[in-house]
Amino acid sequence: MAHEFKGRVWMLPDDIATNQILPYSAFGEPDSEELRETCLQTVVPGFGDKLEPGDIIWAGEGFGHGSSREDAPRALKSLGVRMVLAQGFARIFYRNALNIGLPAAIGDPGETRTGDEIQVNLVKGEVHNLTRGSRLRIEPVPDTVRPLLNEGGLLAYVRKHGSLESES
Amino acid sequence: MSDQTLVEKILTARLGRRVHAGDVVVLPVDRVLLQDASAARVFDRLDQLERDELACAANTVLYVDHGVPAPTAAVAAHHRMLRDRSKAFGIGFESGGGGISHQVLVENSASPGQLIVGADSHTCTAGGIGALGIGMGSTDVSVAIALGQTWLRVPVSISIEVRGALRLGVTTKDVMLRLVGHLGASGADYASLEFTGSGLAGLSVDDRLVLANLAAETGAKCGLVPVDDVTRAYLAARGRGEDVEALEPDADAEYERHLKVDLSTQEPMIARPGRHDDTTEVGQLAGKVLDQIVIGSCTNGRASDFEAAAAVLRGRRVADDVSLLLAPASRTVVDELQRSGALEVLREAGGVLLPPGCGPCVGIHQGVLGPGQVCLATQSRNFAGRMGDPTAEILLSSPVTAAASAIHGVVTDPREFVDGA
Repeated sequence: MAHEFKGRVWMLPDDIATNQILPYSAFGEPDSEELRETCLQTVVPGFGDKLEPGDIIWAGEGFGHGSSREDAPRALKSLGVRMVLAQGFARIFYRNALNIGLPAAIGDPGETRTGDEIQVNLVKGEVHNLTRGSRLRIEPVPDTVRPLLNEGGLLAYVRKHGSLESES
Repeated sequence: MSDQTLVEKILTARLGRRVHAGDVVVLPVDRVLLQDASAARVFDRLDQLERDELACAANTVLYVDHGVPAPTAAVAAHHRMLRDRSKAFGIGFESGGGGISHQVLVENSASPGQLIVGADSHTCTAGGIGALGIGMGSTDVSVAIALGQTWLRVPVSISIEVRGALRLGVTTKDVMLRLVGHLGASGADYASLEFTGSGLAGLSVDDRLVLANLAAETGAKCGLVPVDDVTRAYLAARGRGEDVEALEPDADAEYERHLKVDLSTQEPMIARPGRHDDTTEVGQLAGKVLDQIVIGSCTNGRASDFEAAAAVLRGRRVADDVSLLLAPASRTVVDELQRSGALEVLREAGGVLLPPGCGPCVGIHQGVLGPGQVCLATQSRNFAGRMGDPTAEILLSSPVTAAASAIHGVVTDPREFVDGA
């Protein structure tokens, strides 16, 4: 089970809406070029170019509020974001992220800054900031949600188990 | 043991066993709604699930409401693809012009106590008649269609006790703008916003749908209003509701927080551009020059909204330099306005009637804003770029404030007109 991740951090502020993560394009699925040019562009100019596969986002409160668009977490995943930490998630974004196999967990970043190298253990609820040599507690991924992470998302889970029942 | 919140009661009844906030449960889904801007993703996920049978297809409807009528050839082709795929999946298809999914569902088919899952964040609107509407992403919704079930964590509840009666010129939109400002955009994350109290008896179903709809703007999972005689009368007038029982929270239900709202002291409110939770009294922005005013959307596009606007605009004219766009939430709303005469009043005042649907709130047609333009709209969201150019400014208000502001072409406290002063 993939529950340990190491990567470079991007700190993001509170209250990032799904439409800031990916500007609204109602009817088409954006291509990779469009994702790179628009994802989080108004928050971190040039984000798509600066991001490296395996990077980790650590956002503030209310990450991903607004519309129910699954394109928002999907954009992050397609660009190579390994996982998303936040002080708080909008509920639809949190579900969407786990459903599409983008790990998400809740925690306070303390002194963590953009560019720090961190190691995250989602089951133990631990973050090791390798750059600063500090350790942080985060909320472990709930038992009820862990099967989704294990299978890599909701579709894979349902394809394997044929039902949701065993999750309860 | 009777100490349940509304959401606990609804989920207990749906599941057939007692649930409590914090429980994670798998539940049968009564209805699924899709809309044209997100349905293609849902269909992609259905393909990936490779199921021979879709358990909830017969209770799923795709409403073409976001891009109707099609603004571009590409959207028209997209709609045709959605129609063909809906038929292939055995899913209902409303080809457009009937109205916004949330409104049509409440008018025609939603029932109190149902669990409704929708691929749109304002699915919570059905909570105005005591149905548990929950907005979800494409993958969750595809699983709900395929398996006829969904999983969720029973939310904690925040009670909002409503007392008193609204004064002239003040609406439930103003109540909610103040509440959203108080709670903040994520102040009620994951919670159920539950409205209670003696003040509800004086609020119509149209009013209550505003309360439930804007629950989404606090981060809440749902907004719920108890089922009472007002609900029953609304449903009965639409040929339903004979066997609808009252539904209310138990007196000793456990809430995470209690908030109190005295309707009689509410003021007309407005959201400043950029953030829907940055709200203040209308007077604070009075005089701000406007280019466009929109009355409509799933928040405030109902008959009573337009009738309240018509009462302000009767015998008056929209200022020369602004446009007033009217985007009714459904065809039924248009019919009602035609019958009541409000439509004629609004048109004589200079209002432009748009087809029923999401209208300019989607930002792709029917009033797209240019650089630096300022729009006062009655919808729910106003972030930069929502309605077109990212430098355009969007303010949010009630339909009454929007109508008053249309007369002067600047932000205007509506009590100038409704008090007869």
